Amino acid sequence: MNILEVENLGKKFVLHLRGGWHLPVLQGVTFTVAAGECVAITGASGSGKSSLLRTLYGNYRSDSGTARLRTGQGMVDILQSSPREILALRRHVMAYASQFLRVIPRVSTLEIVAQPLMEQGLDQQVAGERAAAMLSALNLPRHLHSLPPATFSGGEQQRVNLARAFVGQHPLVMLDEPTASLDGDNAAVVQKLIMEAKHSGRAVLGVFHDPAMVRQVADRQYFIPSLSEHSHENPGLQ
Amino acid sequence: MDYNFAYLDEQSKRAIRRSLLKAVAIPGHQIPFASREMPLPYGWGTGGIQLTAAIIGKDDVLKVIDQGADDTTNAVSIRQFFARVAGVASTTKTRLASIIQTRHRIPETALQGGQIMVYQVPMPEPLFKLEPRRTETRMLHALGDYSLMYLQLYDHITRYGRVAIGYDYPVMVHDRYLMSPSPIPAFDVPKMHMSPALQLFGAGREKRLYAVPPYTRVVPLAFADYPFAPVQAQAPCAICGSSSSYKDEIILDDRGTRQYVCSDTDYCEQHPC
Amino acid sequence: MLTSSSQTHTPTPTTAPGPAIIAQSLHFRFGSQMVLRDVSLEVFPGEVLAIVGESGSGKSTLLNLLYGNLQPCQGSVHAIGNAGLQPLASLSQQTLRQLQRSRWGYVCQNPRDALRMAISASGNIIERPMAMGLRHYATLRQEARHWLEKVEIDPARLDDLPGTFSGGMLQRLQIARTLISQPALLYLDEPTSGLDVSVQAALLDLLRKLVSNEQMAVLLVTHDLAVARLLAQRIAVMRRGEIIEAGLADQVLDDPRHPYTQLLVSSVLPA
Repeated sequence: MNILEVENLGKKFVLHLRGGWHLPVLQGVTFTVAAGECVAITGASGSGKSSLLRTLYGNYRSDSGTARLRTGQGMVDILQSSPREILALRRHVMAYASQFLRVIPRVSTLEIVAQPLMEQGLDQQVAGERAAAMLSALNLPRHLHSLPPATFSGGEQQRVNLARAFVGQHPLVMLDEPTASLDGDNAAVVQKLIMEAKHSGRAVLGVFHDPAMVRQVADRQYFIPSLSEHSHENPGLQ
Repeated sequence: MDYNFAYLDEQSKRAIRRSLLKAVAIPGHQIPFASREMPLPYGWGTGGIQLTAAIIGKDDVLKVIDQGADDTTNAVSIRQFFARVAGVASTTKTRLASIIQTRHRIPETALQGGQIMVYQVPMPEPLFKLEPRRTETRMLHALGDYSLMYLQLYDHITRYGRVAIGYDYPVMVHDRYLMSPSPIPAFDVPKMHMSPALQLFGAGREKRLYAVPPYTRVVPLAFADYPFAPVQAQAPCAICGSSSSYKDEIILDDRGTRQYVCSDTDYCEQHPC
Repeated sequence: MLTSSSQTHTPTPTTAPGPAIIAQSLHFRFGSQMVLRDVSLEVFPGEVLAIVGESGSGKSTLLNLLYGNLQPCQGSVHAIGNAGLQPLASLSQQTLRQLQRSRWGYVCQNPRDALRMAISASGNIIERPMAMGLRHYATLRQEARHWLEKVEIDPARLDDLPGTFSGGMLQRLQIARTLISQPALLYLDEPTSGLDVSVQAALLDLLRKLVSNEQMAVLLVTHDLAVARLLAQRIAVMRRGEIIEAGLADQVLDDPRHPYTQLLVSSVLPA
């Protein structure tokens, strides 16, 4: 049973500040991810791996193609969904861990990780307990839970991000270089979380920098063919 | 020199009567009127005198009180004024008067049907101190939104433990309009409620008049757990011994020895000692 | 006998609640100047829509139209009233004011414009319930204390005059005073501008919590894209009286399409 079916997805940036320069990023992307499966997206640096995840998460808009996601109401095309529908998909169906943590200053780590559960309708206490368990599983000690993650190290911040993505038990989890700034022990924890997700029938779609990780967790790989003429994934906008 | 009856010309009196009719029809609602120049300064009762002039007839008997007393300068002057320009009889007896013009008091003797109270009003707008914009206070009256006044009561209780408004205590008239009862003591406010007398209010400088028809509900603002409770002198009157009347406090010497006497001189004289 | 024994109870379908406000094709002009052109939007309960753009782009005018303080020369606004959505144009001034003071809330940039500076902090907080007819001092006082705590102001300041408060506390006071009636629709006009950065962060966190707990529909006008990103799920970008781009907050900010939005996003100074 497919959780995600991507067909002919295309994406380009039009940079008006650079005289309307058209920058193609993705073209003809076609693959599926089934329940209980982990698919690794591979390709040369700058081939649009992160942009693909962001497009599927609704963070970037696409120009063509379809990306159908399995929901309680059948298959839904993410690319055609309204903002409110995308928010609902993010709440219940898909989770995403980027390489960067972006949160409100002064909100505690525990609260940040509990938030996806609260949005799913869990009460504060249960959400807090599950969030704490997830953070502890990712080796973030309890005394850090009440602190805002702004002062955390890169690796700690990434683990907060991962905790957020895994805690909600979403049917599709998308991970962008989840172990890039983690040491071996923590990378092993992430690997374990991915395997657990697969065993519980959820799907994982990831971009991994580490070939060993791909071999260990991925069932299949999808190779993005390199497009000419571009070298950045998020060109000059931030 | 001869004046028209009751000083004002007939057209001016008609204009005021027309406004008065409107005021009686909308109890507690302020009606603008073309206030005339009177031969005494603003603040001395120009509003009250114009109302009295507009309604007084040859057979009326006029009583004028100032702070409850019939014999203070202002009361005497106004009585003499109407004696001269209208030739009407005057009295100090509440019971015998058909029109009672007053500043700052309601007589202790219960009013009767057919009597008319005319109050002198310095500031007709009860929200004046809380909301300086006249357009806005008009809007608040139109909407019946008096939370602003309740806010003041709230802050009074918070600061002083009670509503510390001794005079000009805000009242709701006929469950609709917030009204200034003129600067009468809070003690007198209950006398307005369901009074058989017609009560008219005139503010000469502010060019506003308003009315409370006979048998109209007049309810002081209060909170459920802080009911209306006006303060009252605890001592009986040093002259007549009344313990139910409103008292003036008189300081007798430099050591602060004080004595309380009825503010209503007519009542004090009648009251058996 | 009118009772029927075989009455079957069909469960009422749990439909998602509809929008709390809908604006359709609003036009507004000052004299010959077109200030708003064909603006449409809707906001659902529990959702924050940020309206961003430079000063002069028509954001505040739009907010005033949506709040009923201004009337559009074309188009309509339907907002949640006492009985579902109601067209603002059909409301009497009395109903409008009553809704503005109960079901809706407006938090403006300068708290001094909204607060009564001569009335105590607690008095300011309880004005709405009092306007709605609550006349029990002890209850009002308890409410005031409760909301003071909710906006994280020391309860010892309960009876102080607002003039003795700092800018951030004044804004919290305005928020408490507004949210006490648990409005279904909240208008925020640059709520954190003019505050220190640290105060701003705390206030954003507070607003976010209150908004999500109370399931309010929120219209947030701001020129600060960071504020929009943190508070809003959706963003509408305004320029010269028109919405030129709208969508998911992160989408508009990370993948802006309109040349003006790209300029706006790239003009943010990095911290």
